[in-house]
Amino acid sequence: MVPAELKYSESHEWVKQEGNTVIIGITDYAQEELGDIVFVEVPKPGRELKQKESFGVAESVKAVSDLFSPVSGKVVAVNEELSKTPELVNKEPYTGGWIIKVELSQAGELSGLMSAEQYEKLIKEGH
Amino acid sequence: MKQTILYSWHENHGARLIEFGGWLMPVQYTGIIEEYWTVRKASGLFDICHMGEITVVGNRAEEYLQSVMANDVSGLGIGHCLYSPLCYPDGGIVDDLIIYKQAADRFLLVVNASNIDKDLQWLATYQENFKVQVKNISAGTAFVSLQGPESRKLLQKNADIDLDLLDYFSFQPARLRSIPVIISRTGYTGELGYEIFHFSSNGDQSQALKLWQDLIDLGAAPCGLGARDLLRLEMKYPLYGNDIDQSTNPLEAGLGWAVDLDKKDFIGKKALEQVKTQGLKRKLVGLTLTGRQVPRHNFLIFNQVGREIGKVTSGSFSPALNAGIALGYVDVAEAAIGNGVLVEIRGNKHPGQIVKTPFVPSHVKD
Repeated sequence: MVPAELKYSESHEWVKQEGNTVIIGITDYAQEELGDIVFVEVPKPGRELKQKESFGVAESVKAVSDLFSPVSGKVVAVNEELSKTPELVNKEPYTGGWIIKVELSQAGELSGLMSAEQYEKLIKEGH
Repeated sequence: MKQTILYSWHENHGARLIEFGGWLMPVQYTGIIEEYWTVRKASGLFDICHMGEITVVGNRAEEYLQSVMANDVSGLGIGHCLYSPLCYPDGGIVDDLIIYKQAADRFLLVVNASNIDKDLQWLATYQENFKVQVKNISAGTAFVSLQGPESRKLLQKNADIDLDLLDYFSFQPARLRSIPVIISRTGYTGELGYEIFHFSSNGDQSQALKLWQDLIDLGAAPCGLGARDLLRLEMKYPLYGNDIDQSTNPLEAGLGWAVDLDKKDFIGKKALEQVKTQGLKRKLVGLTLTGRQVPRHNFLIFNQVGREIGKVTSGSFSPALNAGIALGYVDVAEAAIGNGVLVEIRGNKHPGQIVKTPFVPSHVKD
């Protein structure tokens, strides 16, 4: 399950562009690898992120995994639902399980991200 | 890496496999939390073939075990089993195991997978005077565990003995749809449950696969080591290598109930008596966190004024309590139930509390 309209990072985040902001989450492949997610640590709105900077973690029963921002910019919203129902990331990784919204500071970075096709190839190779 | 007789079954049924104690074992099939709830509410089936089985045979087998094991083997009746630590002379723990008395001169030990060789060596050091035969029969033994409130009803459909008569920590030879087994009322989950041995003398383990499939067909859900770890953690059952090892003694681990300091002698008795006289320095406690963060092995524990008082030995997320939970050794002066603590997780100290254990009620005697 790799939605065609999204962009992807090598660290298994997806990016959905909406004008000058993007929504960021983790891919279905990533949530499947992590297993049952019980806690998602998100940044405070207003925080400035650089591309590839860790902005939080997802904890599953068996492991903890850093979340990396695929783009640079300011966090303008976080998914409040996740504090009570982090399992949304497992159940709806591309919709209800979104993690943060970022206002782009380097819009050009988007073109460096992977297409759905490229990302699909990456996970087939087992990264 | 070693594979159990059920390995292909796991692979064909969507298991995710991980290394555990030298074995490639299923950690989950559908999901750890789902499997956890299956065991708490219905019945789950675990492949535990990786565990070690050792027989001790001889006229003086009981005397021998009495002299090496920390618990009192002399009171054990045929058909009953006993949990015991096996200690080093300094009181450190070689292994924790279950002793099954099969006959006056025959015992079966069930030991941790990663400790089989060490246990055999250790047992051999002391066996000569007693002329007992100590034999590793792990390779020819299949071992599965059916756990959960529905396990009795389900197993009864295939068993030729009356399971209502099988008390906690007792066992009986039986047949499961004609397959010869030993059914033991034991487990590592805190639920009503049974552990089932099948011994094959000729190396043919196809019967083991059949007995597994029969239980699945009756409605038991296959469960992996991930759920098993959560279930045992909520019960404060120690895991060798995490919560107990050579550097910990059974008294500080809260296993004093399985140590008989009144019996004549056993390996480690002197050291443990000394520990008791001097008083414990630290204690294995259970703690819960206020938030949903997950405490993990080796995370530091602080008291409320920020002094380091111990370390987490096992931690996870409790689905029943909806919170992070952990076991850890803390300074005995700080170990009172109700005490507030802080656990350092990725550089931040998160509040929690030392709580009564088990974390959830036990149903083993239901």
